[in-house]
Amino acid sequence: MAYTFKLPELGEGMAEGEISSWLVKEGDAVKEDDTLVEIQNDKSVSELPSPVDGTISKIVAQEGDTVEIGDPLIVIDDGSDTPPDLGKGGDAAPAEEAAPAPAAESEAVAPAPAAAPTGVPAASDPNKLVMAMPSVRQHARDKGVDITQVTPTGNHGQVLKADIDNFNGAAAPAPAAAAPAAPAAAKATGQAIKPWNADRPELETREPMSPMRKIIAKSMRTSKDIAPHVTSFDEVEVSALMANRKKYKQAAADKGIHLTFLPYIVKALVAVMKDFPELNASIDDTTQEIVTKHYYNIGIATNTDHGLYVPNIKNADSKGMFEIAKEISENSQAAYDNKLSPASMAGGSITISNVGSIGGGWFTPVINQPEVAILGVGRIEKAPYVNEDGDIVVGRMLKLSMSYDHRLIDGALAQNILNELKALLHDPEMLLMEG
Amino acid sequence: MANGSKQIVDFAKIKATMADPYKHPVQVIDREGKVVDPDTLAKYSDDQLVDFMKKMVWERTLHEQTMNFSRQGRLGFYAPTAGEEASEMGSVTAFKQQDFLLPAYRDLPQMIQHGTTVAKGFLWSKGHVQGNQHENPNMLFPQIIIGAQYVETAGVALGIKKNGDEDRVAFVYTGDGGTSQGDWYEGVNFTSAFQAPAVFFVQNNGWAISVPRYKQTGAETLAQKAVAMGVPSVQVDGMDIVAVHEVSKAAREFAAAGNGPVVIETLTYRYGAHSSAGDDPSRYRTKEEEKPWFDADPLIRMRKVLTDKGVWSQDQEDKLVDEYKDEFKQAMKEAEAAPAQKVSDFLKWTYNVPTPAVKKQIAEFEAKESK
Repeated sequence: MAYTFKLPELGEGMAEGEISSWLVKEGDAVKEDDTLVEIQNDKSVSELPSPVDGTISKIVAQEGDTVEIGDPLIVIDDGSDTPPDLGKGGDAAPAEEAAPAPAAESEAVAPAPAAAPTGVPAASDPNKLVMAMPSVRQHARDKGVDITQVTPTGNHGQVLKADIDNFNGAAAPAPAAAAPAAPAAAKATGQAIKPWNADRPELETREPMSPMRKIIAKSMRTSKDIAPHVTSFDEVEVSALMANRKKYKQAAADKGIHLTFLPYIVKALVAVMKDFPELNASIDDTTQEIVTKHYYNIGIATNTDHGLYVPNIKNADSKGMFEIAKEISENSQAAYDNKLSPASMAGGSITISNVGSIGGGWFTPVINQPEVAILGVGRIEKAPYVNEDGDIVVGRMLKLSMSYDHRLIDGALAQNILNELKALLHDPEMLLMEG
Repeated sequence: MANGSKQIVDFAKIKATMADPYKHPVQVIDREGKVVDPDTLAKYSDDQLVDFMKKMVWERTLHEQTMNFSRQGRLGFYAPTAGEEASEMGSVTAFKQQDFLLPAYRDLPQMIQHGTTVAKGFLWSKGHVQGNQHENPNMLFPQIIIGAQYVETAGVALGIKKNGDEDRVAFVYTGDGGTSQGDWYEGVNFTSAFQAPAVFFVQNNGWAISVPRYKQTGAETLAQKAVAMGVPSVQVDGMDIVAVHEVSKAAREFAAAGNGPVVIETLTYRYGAHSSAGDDPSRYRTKEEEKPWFDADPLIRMRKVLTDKGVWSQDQEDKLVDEYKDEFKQAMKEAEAAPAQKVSDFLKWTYNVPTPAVKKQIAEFEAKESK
């Protein structure tokens, strides 16, 4: 009885086309390969030939209509027993013969907007990935519609011309996939990360995030969100420092103190902060003010099996090397024992993140808010080094990575800071003078 | 040399004369249908010439019918061949069944001539695995990666040489764009290094999608690129089927005799879009550029030669076109009747003995497929 010719995919990425003109009318007899219609898509005009011999019984899509791939264009009576199929694509159930075509079409095409709009306009997100043909984007611009707010109904989430036309200015309901319980952290940008294998749960294990992990995740994310991070890398030769530590290690041990390299770095940072007060500052976003601190509380990032803590050495400027060493050990033990007081972690000036005890070189530490810099310390390694006399000797190279908040600290300033830090660590006697 | 002193080397002269050996592409019948090399034409009987014409009409009709199928939504990817009939039919007919063909995606007509069916060609376009199962096993399926078939050809030619196969060569096609690929040089060079039997065709149809030939390389001809690899090469009028065939036959003989590979550049033209995927040539080239090529059509000149000889008529041609069309429609029905592909089949073909994970997947998909 009828062959229903549906719009085929005429080009890669094509989602829809416009009927330029019909070359046949209802009642016409056509032969296979006779041209039926001209379709305009983004790339070109195509003439579509008839796939069968027969008589045109109904033209479904009219000139000027925009049709999607799989939409019925025309019904040709080819003498077969097949009823006309006015549904979309190949899967749709054949429509009742009596059903008027437009009704069947609108049912098939527009399920999404049926849900009542919430009435709350969504914030426009310029970074949202929108898939749409250039002509559709132009159409949206012409109509003054923000395409990022339009609910797509096309294949693979493409926005169609009809979606622009149907857009009523209110935010459409979020797609079902992204809806369920977005975690608080994800709300910040409105984009929850989808699980990869929702349909294959046996491939993965899921467990709730511990409160500690949530806090770490949140503070890392906050820091990265608010502070434009830049990290400067440098290295310094520290054999003199090592010799100094070796010399006083036993004296410290006699007092029950474990002398590491960290107290030297704490001392050096204090000296540097005195010369560069920007390093000992915070930005108050609420007032757009720079807060410069007159205290020197040096945080030491401490990794334990139950979380990451940053206790700080209070008023490190007024403490001696042994005292600082002792406090570092005590804080570390308290962290392991889960006995750190909130006060011991508050009011920091700057943080040291030391991975050197495990290994490693340069890395990009994340600033501990509301501070403006963090110093990453790597392992001391033997490496060829050209000394002051121009001889190549075996140097003890310490790698430094300083991440800083570029809102406050510029690259040149950061390098000047590192240069002074290096001078102090290279020659610990200078530390005695400065510290 | 502005100062008049003579330099030790004259690069300007070298550059100006590099393409001299390629100044006169081989031609037997010119664009007006005039026979310019009667001695060569005399080697061909009227029956042979009529057969050439039939094959070109066949290819043109295949192209037109395939475009129709494509617009009816009955095919997947298809690379139009109109304009390249002499280049494709003239070359493929110079080879024997035992020769190994390595086609690109515009070479379905040569594949069908070399020993597969039109239905298989359609199935390939539809992404059906049966489209890769050819009656003549001496061919690969069309290579989609530009130029990669040249590397494969080096391997096939080496194999032929290593096995000591008698009277057998590998032959391969790419376009002008393909010659800019590293694969192109590697394939030709490797084959040359081993003096293995291969004939490398470059169908220079003027356009690599929207990039014109002159933007493709600083070389005046593509054929001369072979010189660097110690491979003899030639430019031939790719709209002249007799010239293409004659050159291809000579190349095959040369390679089969153990003299190493040959490169042939056929000068032809892509009449339409790069592919059925929807590029519009009017966006990147002019009607003025197209016209002289349409006038140089390989069917027009052969039609004139044969009509002058009194062995061809328009009626005869129209009748042939109808016959071929019916044949292609029949082939399409055959292709459409092929069983739907099953994921479980593909999984079964992955390993001779399936791994436990694949076995599980096979079971899963078979359960879904039986519903």
